[in-house]
Amino acid sequence: MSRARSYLWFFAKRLGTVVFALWSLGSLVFLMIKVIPGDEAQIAAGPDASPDQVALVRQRLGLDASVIVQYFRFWGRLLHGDLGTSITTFQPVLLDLERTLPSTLELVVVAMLINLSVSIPAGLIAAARRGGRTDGLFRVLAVILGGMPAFWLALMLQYLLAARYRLLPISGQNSYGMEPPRWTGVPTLDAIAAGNMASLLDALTYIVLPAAVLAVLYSTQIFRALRTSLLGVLESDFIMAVRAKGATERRVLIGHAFPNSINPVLTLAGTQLGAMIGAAVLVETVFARRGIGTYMFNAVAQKDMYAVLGSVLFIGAIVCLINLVVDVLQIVVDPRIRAAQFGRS
Amino acid sequence: MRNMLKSNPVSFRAMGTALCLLGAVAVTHQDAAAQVARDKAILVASSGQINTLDPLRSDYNQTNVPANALYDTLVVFGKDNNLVGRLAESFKVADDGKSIAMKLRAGVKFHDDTTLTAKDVAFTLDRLKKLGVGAASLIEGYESTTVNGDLDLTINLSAPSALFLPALCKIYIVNSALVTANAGDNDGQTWLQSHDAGSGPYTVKSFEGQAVEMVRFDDYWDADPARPEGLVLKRVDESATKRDELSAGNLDVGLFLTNRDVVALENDPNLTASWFNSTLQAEIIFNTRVGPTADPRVRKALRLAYDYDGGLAAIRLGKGTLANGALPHGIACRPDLPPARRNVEEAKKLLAEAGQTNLKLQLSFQPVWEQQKQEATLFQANLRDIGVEVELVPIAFPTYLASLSDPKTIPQMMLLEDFAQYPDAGIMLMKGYKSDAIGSNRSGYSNPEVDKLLDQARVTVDDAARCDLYKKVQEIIDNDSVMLDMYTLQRSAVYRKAHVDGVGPTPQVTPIALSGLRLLAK
Amino acid sequence: MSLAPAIRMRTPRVKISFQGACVSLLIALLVFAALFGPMLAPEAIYRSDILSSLQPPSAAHWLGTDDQGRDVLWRVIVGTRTTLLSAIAIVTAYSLIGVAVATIAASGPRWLDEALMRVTDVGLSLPSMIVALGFAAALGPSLQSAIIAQSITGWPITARILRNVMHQTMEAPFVAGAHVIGVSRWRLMTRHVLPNSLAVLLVKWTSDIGGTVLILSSLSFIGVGAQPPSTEWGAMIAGARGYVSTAWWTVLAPGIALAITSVAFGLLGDMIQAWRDPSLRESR
Repeated sequence: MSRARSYLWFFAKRLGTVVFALWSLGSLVFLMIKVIPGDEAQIAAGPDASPDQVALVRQRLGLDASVIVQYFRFWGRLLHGDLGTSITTFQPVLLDLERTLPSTLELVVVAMLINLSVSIPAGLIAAARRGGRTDGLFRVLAVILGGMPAFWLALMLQYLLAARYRLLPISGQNSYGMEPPRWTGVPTLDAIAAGNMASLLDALTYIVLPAAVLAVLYSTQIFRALRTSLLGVLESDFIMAVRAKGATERRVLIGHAFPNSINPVLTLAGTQLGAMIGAAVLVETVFARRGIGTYMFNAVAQKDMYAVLGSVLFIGAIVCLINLVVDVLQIVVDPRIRAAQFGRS
Repeated sequence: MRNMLKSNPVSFRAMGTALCLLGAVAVTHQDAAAQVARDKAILVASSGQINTLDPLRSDYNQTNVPANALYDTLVVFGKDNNLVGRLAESFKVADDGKSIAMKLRAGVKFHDDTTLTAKDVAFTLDRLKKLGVGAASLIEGYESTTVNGDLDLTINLSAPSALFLPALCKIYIVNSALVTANAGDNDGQTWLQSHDAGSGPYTVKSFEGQAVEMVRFDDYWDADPARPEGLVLKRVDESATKRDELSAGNLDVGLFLTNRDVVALENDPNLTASWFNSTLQAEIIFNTRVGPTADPRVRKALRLAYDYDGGLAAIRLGKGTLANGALPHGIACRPDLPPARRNVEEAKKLLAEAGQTNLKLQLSFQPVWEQQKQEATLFQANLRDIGVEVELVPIAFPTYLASLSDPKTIPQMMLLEDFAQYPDAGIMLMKGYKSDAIGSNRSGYSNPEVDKLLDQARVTVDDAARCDLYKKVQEIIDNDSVMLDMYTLQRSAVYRKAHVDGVGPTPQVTPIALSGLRLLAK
Repeated sequence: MSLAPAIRMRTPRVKISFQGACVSLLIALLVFAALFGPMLAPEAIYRSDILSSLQPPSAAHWLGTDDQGRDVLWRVIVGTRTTLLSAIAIVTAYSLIGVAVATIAASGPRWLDEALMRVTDVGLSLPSMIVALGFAAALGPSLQSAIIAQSITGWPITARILRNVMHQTMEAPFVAGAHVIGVSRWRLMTRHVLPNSLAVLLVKWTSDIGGTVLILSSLSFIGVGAQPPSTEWGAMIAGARGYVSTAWWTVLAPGIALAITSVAFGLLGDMIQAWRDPSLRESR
């Protein structure tokens, strides 16, 4: 098989997995809808609906037909972007989600930046001082921090750093009057687009704490993975050769060991991106950010089932797609993974 | 690092392009209209979802509060609980009680600069009647409006009703031309959800789900330059967050904080914590038709189980008065009934009499309200003392409302805080206890004697006679133990004393009337 | 790895380090609390004593009282059973499902293996907490719903890992050799493949308990899991959320319990793995 064809074949297979995953997700959500106790039409129409309106909804959802027909109609609606209507905002759920998604993406991106900029240096230092006190300290910290529940950490840090000692803002995305005109829905990007430096700095102070809290768990994972990977590489023959050539320990570590141990770490970071979006639910609501997490949290509190399940579907689909993008990027970027993937047939 | 650079120059180029694009956009993008400066605006934080700004739903407090800032009503309740004209310069009820003649104030402007006329009043009332939901329930008996001139109108009722005129304090007049132009297919409900068609002191700048941003309307007929140029009503459900933001100066007025948090803020030198008497009453509503609670002896026993004093002292920190009857303190026409009390022995005896041992019940409550959650848990523990096991069932308010249409789906016990739409005993009794008031009669209570007395009261023009009828009804429903009334509560508002003034409720808008807020000069 | 010199025990086969002793002690404490906590706890923690609500830590209440006047320390201890048992139930449930699926995949025909692995691929690419959230919300928020939901979403990873281990074992020379001599597939599975897999399963089961406890409490915090006044730690934090500034002990205590539990079980998993496979131990 030519190289191009094997790439295409791989991409097609990968896409197939995504399609299958999305199909499964949709079917699971259909199952969830069916499982909700109570009258499905009433739940969809909302508690204020008159019996006539409920009957209309029953007809629209095709609830009088068999389950199979309902299933197909469900998919028909889904493919037209109809995730149902929220009974609290009275808007289509998809519209609500599109409005709140940018804020969540901003949180995840900043969290990932914080994650990598803390855990990679930490991993390097720990591997360099392997067995010493710093290494031990970092590893203990990683263990302890990795076991903390994110929402609890959010509450405690919000209290300590924001409410008690006023080092950072308490909740929200911007101070009053600092909100940039809405363009993408991402406060930092909108501030840049408006050329408003003060607004940008303001938005950054609001995102730092939530992003840091979100990053904690994942940075412990990256730290451990990098350290393990580095230690493995540092004992390999080729490093011995580099050392024999007389390179300084620092150069060995950063110039040679690091680039060769970065792959599993990047793989991990890629999967974490999707996981972070899920975990954002917990952090966003504590800091009252206007993202999907807060939307979902409020929907649960209000028993707004279509909003909840629509969010599940939406977030699941996004995570799936992000994983796909990450996988493809990996193939594109790293020749060794390319070889590993296409070396075997 | 260098290896990575070599192997993927593509990614760096892409990044560079993106940055250039952003820069280009930054240069060309125009700033939208600037926001009102912080020191010229008042930021208010309240609880609960603001579903809509459409004054159709002014029976919901979350709509009533912003409506008070955006719209005007024909009449309001004055300081002595008597009706005073607002948009209506004068009004007279006909002798047969079937019509009301009104003369409107001249020169009232809507926010789009058109003048408010009798046509707009007629349109508002007709729209309510047509849609039949929300505030329409307050003006039952409305037939039509005869427009006699720009400022002259007569409201016609299908039957005389002593409830109609006071209800007008909650009917906000909309701009008929604007609403008609944006009617869509549901009489403007979609458009009015996030826009305003009012004549009030403020107009909507934006409404984004959790926050309503308003700017001062300088051509308001009752304008006051001391009103802030900007007013923001934000939704912040967590009392702790409001408390922290108030302390930090990021909020000017905080509503619906827990009593504990308000008391904690009383020592803050920058803040004032105010307590207001209100008609808010905490109560547990029984299902009087289906299940074990259909037996009045069981209900009476349950009423004797709650630790009223403990609840008031520890959960509400004493900010209230023990209930004595179904209606809250502060409403006229209340009989002199003994205050609620706890008596475990008597309760157990009553249960035994009713033949109910090992009773298992469900108590529904809204978990979003912290103090109600505490009360539900307290009641659960109290009932354990008389041998009743209670399962706590969290429920959202819209779901609860939906369950009220059928006695079979009404929760066995529901913990609620209820308040009078306006200070009139009649509206509370009719809505709450008449057997045909499906949906607002939350206990499903059906007593022909009460129905008869209330029907009689509706057509009784003499105030004193009507009052006696109301008192008799309250005595009957207290005897029947329709509800467990806990205490009448005080409402609170915490605000920055150097920045804000005029914080307080009116008889028809609680906990505070936004139209009354004033900015303090520096 | 040891943080301090190894303590030599009488049986030289097992060296117990300082870390190992700490972890074992913690686990023992947690198990003890789960088994005997509710029995030993005073009756008072099930009753409300509103008049003494939100008291700070004192001699009478070492960790203070919560918003209903109940002793926080005892509620946390009693909550160990709720939280831990639920987590164990979840992990056991999805481990069983995972074992079953992995066995079918590994010992069945190739196409079945491929099909099942595609299914687990789906499980790996979807965010499990979000899907669990959806199920728990649909079933009606409660502890049971959360348990069911997490059991449904947890098995794909386990199935995947076990199936890989089984494949590896089956491709090992001695197994192939045994197969050639004529040992039945069934005997191969039961005598060689399964025992090897069970060792991996045990490690995963132990480590997973820590992660499951965190996800379970997160679901409770969001509102789709255990509801107050449950003693599940996540529900306790959710109920105390408004009191962080005024009564920090109500939020701190269950959170620390969660952290300790998840860390202890995670480390226990590491320890079991290191004991089972000395080559994985950190050499110095």
